[in-house]
Amino acid sequence: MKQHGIFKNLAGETVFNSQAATLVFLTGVAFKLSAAPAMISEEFGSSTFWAFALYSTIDVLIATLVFCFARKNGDALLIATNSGAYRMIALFATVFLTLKGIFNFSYASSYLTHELFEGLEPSLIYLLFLLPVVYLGARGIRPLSRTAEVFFPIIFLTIILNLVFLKTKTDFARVLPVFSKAPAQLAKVFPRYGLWLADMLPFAFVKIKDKRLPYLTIGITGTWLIVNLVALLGVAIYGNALKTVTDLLIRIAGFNQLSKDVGRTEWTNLLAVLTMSIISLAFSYFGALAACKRAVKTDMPIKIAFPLAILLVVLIVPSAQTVTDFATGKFGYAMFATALALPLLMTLEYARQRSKLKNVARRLEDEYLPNRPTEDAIDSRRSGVLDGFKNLPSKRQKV
Amino acid sequence: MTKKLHVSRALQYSKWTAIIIVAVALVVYGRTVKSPSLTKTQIVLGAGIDFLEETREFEVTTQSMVVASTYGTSNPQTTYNVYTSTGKTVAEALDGISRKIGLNISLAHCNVLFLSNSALALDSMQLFYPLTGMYALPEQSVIVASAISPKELLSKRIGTTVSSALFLQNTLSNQEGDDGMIRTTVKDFLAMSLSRSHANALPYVEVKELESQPQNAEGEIKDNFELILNRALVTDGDKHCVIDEKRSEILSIYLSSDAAGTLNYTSPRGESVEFKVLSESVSSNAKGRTVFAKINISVDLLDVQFVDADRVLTGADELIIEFAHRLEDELESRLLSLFETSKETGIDFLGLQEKAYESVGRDLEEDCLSTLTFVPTVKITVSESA
Repeated sequence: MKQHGIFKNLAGETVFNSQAATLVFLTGVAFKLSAAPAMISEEFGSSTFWAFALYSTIDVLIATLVFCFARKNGDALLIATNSGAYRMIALFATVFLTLKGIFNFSYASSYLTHELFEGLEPSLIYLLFLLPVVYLGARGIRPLSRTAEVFFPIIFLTIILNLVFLKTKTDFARVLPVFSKAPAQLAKVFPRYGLWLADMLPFAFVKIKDKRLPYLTIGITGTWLIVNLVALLGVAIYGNALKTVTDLLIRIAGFNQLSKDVGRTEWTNLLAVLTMSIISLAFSYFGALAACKRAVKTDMPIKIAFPLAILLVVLIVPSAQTVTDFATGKFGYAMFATALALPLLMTLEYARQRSKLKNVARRLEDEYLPNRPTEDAIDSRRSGVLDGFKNLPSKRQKV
Repeated sequence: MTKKLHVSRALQYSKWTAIIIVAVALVVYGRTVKSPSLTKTQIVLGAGIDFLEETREFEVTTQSMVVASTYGTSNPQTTYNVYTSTGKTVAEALDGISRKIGLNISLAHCNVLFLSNSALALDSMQLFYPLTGMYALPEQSVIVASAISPKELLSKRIGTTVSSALFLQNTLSNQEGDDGMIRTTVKDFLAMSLSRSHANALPYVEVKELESQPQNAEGEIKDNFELILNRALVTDGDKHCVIDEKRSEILSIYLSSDAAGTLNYTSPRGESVEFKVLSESVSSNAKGRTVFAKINISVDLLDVQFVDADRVLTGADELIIEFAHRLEDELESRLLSLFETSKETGIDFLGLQEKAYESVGRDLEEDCLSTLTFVPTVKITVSESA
């Protein structure tokens, strides 16, 4: 089936680069622009923007590593070779993504119960919020990316329009001095906020099919720009008072100059944040499931453990602050190190296996050639990594 | 070999599945969320907070609007009700008001917040955080200080709009910068309080009984007041100082980003010129401990009196340009005078320590106002009118 000049015979865990780009935006913005600026501001003062820019740059580097791994079909090679190291890495990725899911859900549900739906039974909110997360995550990457594709234009437009109509007193010099404390002191606390890194890690378990335009590059660059622009505006608008802002993206919508005529406008970004949070959490859930499958051959344990752990934490732990304090305390260093180590180790293991099995690796890389004639494509129904590669032409096709 | 291709049915319908899930979730939310209806909510237009130091209690006053129609009449009547309650916390006092009126309190439309001097001396973050969070007070609400208590101020009947809160909201939003009207919002107040300068400038409201009370068919409507807004209160914790009219005028231009209004220059010979401010740009930066402020004001000639000229004067006339230059000097000297007041009172309402901090860096010591130098430059451009 050929539509729009591309082949639509996508395998099970394959998405187009345009769909991946929308997921990059939604997951990249969702939690980075909610609680993170306030928490970073409390520690960093006037250095907040610079610290935030550094975090987002590190996350871009991690994402680049993950996408390189995905493009090389590293996952398929390491599954095919039954790499023990990869299974161990996948096990760590399962735990990491589950923890990310717990911390992010805890923050989002706390915000919903305390600031938005005060007076409503919290357990009802947890259930209603968790339901779409579990459903979307369990359905897999394709329904998830399709959902992201549907909501992306609305969310993107909402955020952009709120920025365009923003009118309030700002002072961009509030980003100075760059070092509010001694650099060594800042460097010491910097890794404690590793919770917000490696949002794109689940893409390591996804195959990406290219359309003509470099959507992924556009998506990553655009997300980095918007995230940092909003963080910069946050510092310029609030200065040190940024630490009192529970959700920057929602608060910024309150300064929309149209609000004088149409009433308060925070709800516009609130809808965007709620949708992005659900999609982002579902993406973490999908990642944890995919990683678990690679680690122990089945995703059933994490299919149950992920939502159960989330529910247990939000019901048993007395406040979201306790969870946040834990995540950004000494445990934050572990999260930071894991966020950096996982994609790095995956890539190294791929490089090791690739040097051993050059021929197989090359054929797997071939899957990413655009405009491949349909008859040569790997069986789309089975996501069978190496199935039918005997039918492939012996020499690589020219693009 | 050609393989038969299958597009997953799940992929085809996933979009609709997602939309249906969202729709169902919204319906469930809609049926289960206990949303406070408008009939059970009192919409507050203005609120006032006073801190009673003797009892260490908060005295909170709210002014709210009630629109009600009587059976058989077609015109609904609007009444403005003022309620006061005290409590150990602001929340307790608001809860007291809620019990008095039998309705929930919503600050979501409260655009003016009156604070007494004793309330201004409190920790601003602790004071505002529950208001903007739990009670949804807009961060764009304007903070106002007054010579009388917030309770008295909110009870005053204003000839033009009846509600003092509505009057202030409209005046400060539409005429910021005019005759010393400063618009400091809750967000700006917090940002300045938590900066190196710590200080804030607020509109200072004085109340005066109307010389001529309004009349209607039934006779004179008594007890109407006017609010005078041309002075500013500068504050830093428990330190306060009231700035006079002339200096408040330039202070409001210095602090605002979108000032309107007029500027007057009267020469020693009695010649008087009135300029209308068209636009302004204020930029300040520091080099070490010297802070430079550049104010560019674009004005239009509005009125000239007592000038010896036998023709209609325009903005292009040399005489008017000369007056504009003299006004520049006068405004600069007023700014320098404000700097002297700032040093004398120890209230850094010009935000100079924050600017110096941006330049010097983290080594700048706290409370270094007396070590700073302030260099203001005012440039007035007169546009040519017909």
